[in-house]
Amino acid sequence: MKYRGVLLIAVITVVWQAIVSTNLVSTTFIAAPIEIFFCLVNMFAKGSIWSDISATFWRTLIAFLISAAIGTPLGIAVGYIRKVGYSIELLLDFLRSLPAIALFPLFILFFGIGDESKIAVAAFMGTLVITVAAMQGTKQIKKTRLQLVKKLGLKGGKIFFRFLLPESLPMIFSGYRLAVSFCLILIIVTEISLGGQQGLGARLIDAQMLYNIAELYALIIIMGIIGYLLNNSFIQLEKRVVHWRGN
Amino acid sequence: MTFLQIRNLVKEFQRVEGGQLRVLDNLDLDIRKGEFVTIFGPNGCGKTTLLKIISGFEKPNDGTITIRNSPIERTKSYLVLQSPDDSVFNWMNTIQNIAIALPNKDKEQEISNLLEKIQVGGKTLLEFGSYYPYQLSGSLKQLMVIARAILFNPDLLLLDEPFSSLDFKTAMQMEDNLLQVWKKTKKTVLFVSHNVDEAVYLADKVVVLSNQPTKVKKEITVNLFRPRKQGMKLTAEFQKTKGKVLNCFSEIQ
Ligand SMILES: Nc1ncnc2c1ncn2[C@@H]1O[C@H](COP(=O)(O)OP(=O)(O)OP(=O)(O)O)[C@@H](O)[C@H]1O
Ligand SMILES: [Mg+2]
Repeated sequence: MKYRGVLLIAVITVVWQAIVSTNLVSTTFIAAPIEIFFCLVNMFAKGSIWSDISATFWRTLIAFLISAAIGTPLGIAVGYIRKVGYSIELLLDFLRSLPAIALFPLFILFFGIGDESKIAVAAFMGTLVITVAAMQGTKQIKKTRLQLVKKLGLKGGKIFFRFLLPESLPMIFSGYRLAVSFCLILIIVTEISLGGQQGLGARLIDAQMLYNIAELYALIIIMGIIGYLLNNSFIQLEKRVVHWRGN
Repeated sequence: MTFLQIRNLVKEFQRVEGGQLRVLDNLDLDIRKGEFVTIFGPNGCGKTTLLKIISGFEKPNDGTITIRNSPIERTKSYLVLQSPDDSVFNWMNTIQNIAIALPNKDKEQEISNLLEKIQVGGKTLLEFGSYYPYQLSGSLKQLMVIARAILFNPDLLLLDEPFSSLDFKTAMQMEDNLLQVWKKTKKTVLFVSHNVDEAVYLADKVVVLSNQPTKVKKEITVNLFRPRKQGMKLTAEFQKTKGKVLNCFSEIQ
């Protein structure tokens, strides 16, 4: 299957190259795959792109880790205390529906134009996504199962770590995957809107202003690859951790 | 001496079509300490509901229920639910699923001893010790839950049709395993069954329930001596008791 997927991408690339080479479309805003390829080689040969990749990657990862650290226990707690759940659910739903990027100008005032405000926006969204996933995972646990666990004498922290957490883990993981994608998107959006400093989003806006079309495409491809790798590593991690689900 | 005392127990559920469905209707029941009681009743009469109320999983609408004259929460009890999927923890293997019920860590030996005694399809349950629930068949999961319940060693053990998914031979072997443990620990057991042979074979007393709204229709004492042997199922005394239970059951409107 993987092999066929690669083949499909190869075919699209060839067709794309053919269309551009035969001048069927204007090349003002469309770069040829060969050009993009050389641009990519050049970027990595010069080496400066690495610092941008790592800046975007680390911002995303930190935002995600903050989201997971807050969202997981919070979501489980809210799901567990069902009665509180009702009053807090509306608030969570509202915050989640709020376009997180709208908070960026405010966060800039709080945290300045450095990494903190970018990470804050991404972590805001990520935390809500994970909280809601963990809450739903915990809420769907059958009441009888919980009563049974209490019968067995599990209390407090043990109920959390040995029961609630593993029981809702499959749901929590789908939240993690969603959250990491959101974090990457928001980090790039904030980088684009501030420009300047390091980060793939900042390079993207530079390339656009300089009409460096091939580089624009090259950066988009790099971001795509990062997104793909992030998502894929989460799928692998999920398979490892939630191994008991079977097939 | 009365151990479990149930008086005027009423349980109603919300009907889908509106109104209340009275499942248990002023039910009275007394169970002595160390007694092995089986409950025999028609489908949907409220056997599972009754066990859940005794375990504290469901609240009754009315009536009192006490163990040793105290609220039920004071007594260590355990309910083996009808479906093992409600009781197994999917992220734990068989050994871990059982060990969670045991306080100290060095219970490995105790677990192995019991699992070795449980034979299924030519293997012992111990051979499945490191299997996860998704790798086990329904009956194996059920046996795992029963093993957990036994080792948890509650003062009141409640079992809801625990052997219904087992084949003939495994079920008989589990009957004897359970009786052996019961003889050793002298705990009180309440066992729901749809199998009249099983109900009579295990019990000191068979409690026959009526249809909804449910009351105790009759309590039938089993006078077979102990320890029981599977061969007793062929004796005249066994057949007589079985006849009484079936007679009573067929009178239910
Ligand atoms: N949560 C519930 N809400 C509404 N009705 C319920 C609920 N639980 C049980 N009932 C009803 O209560 C009655 C008794 O159910 P219960 O499961 O106790 O029967 P049972 O005697 O165990 O039956 P079976 O022999 O099929 O296991 C049934 O009519 C059922 O529809
Ligand atoms: Mg039932």
